[in-house]
Amino acid sequence: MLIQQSLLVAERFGPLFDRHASAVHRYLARRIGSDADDLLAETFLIAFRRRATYRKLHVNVRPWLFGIATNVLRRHARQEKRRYRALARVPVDPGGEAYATDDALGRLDAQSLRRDLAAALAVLKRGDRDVLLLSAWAELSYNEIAAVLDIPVGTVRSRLNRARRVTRAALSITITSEERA
Amino acid sequence: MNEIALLQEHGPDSAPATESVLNSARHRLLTEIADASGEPRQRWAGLHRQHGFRRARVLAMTVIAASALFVFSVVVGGVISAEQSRDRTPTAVTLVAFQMPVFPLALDPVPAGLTAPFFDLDGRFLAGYRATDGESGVNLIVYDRRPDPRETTRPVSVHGQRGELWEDRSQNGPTHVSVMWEWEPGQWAQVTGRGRFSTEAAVLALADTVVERPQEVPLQVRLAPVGWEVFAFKDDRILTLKDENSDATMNVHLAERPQPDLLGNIMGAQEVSTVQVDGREAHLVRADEIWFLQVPLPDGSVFNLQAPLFMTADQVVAIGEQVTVER
Repeated sequence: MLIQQSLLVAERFGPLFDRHASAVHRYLARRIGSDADDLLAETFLIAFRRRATYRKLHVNVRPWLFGIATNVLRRHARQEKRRYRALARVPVDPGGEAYATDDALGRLDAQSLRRDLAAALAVLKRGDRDVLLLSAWAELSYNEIAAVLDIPVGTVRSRLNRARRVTRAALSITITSEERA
Repeated sequence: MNEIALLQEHGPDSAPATESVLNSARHRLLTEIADASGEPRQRWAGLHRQHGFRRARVLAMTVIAASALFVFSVVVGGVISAEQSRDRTPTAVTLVAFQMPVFPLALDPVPAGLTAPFFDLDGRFLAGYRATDGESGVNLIVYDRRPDPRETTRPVSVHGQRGELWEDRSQNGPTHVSVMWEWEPGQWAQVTGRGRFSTEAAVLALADTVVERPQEVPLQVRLAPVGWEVFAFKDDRILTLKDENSDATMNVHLAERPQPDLLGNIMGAQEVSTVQVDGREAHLVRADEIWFLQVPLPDGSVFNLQAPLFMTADQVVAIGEQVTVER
């Protein structure tokens, strides 16, 4: 409704920033670090300029904004990969805080897990990573991801399966090495 | 724990946005919005600050209105009112005479250097007097019930009544000093001063100048669907009426200039037709979900009327005929 109204009264777009800026920033920051500060403004400027096309997607405002943020990130894909690689190289502190879960992964400590997840993200194809992180961090449904990335739902499923498989494999290596140790 | 949950809990993370980051991004967006509309940026910022206000229904504000809301019934185009229930979209509409709420109080005299008031209705009814220095100003606010009590107030006397005085001091923003009293049973008035009016003496002096003087808001709609009420009125420029039985709304908005490309700029626009509204040539757009009527005003500005599609084109034009703007 606000977007529709903003076509007539531009100022009606303003409240959307207050509602969604923090969540969009967190998504951007998890993917690209401190440069998210600039990309946040870019995301909302693009959203404002493209608001006339919003309704064609048939999604709510939140997924629409995450879709725009994801497209903004594509111009910074190398930087994003560098961030994951750097995080993957962070040495594990032997005194790091352990955490417990019911499954085998519970034996890993949080630091090494974060490092291995970063390593997995670094090797994912860009499209697979977009789908995985829109699902994990933006918590979008398959249909919402398909709409905002303009791809079929079947493609979302296959990309997500592939991304999860790669991530699982990266973690399995760690589990195996931890168990051997 | 699967990969998605692991990413959520243990994936790469970063510091949350600071207030300065959000302010900077918000400023860039507001600048773009202001540029797009051709309006001064300060105005957008003012409206932005108001978004936090409680969006309450204002049915009780009709008490403030000078007379009953619905005076007589005018059936337009022979359409008969359908039964309506909450959350159910009406299928047909009866238009009736409508009276906008009237602001009941005024400052007399208005202190030198303050403009004529603008009005804002959104859970409370406000007359705002702005100063030319851009910092000082006075808000005169009426409530149809006692607002939530403040934590720290001081008793004062206003118009022989017991009142409450308090101060809002933000870290970086201006200080506001307010006084509130029950100006008639069940009706509460508040005077808030900022800038050169943000002292106890200034606010109490202003409160003593408050008189009962009904003031019409400058944007008037005198015809509306039966059962609709004012939902919000913003800054003298944006009026929203709402059906009390559904979520249907109708908006009237004053714009400085006409939309040059109605088909391109209105979402889902299908066709544009030329209609006569009060002797003026206007444009009526049928879009996927709304009617959009753009009517020129003598000073070159326009008003835009946005109405739901369950109204007929004739009804939208009839409502447009009953919109007046006092500048």
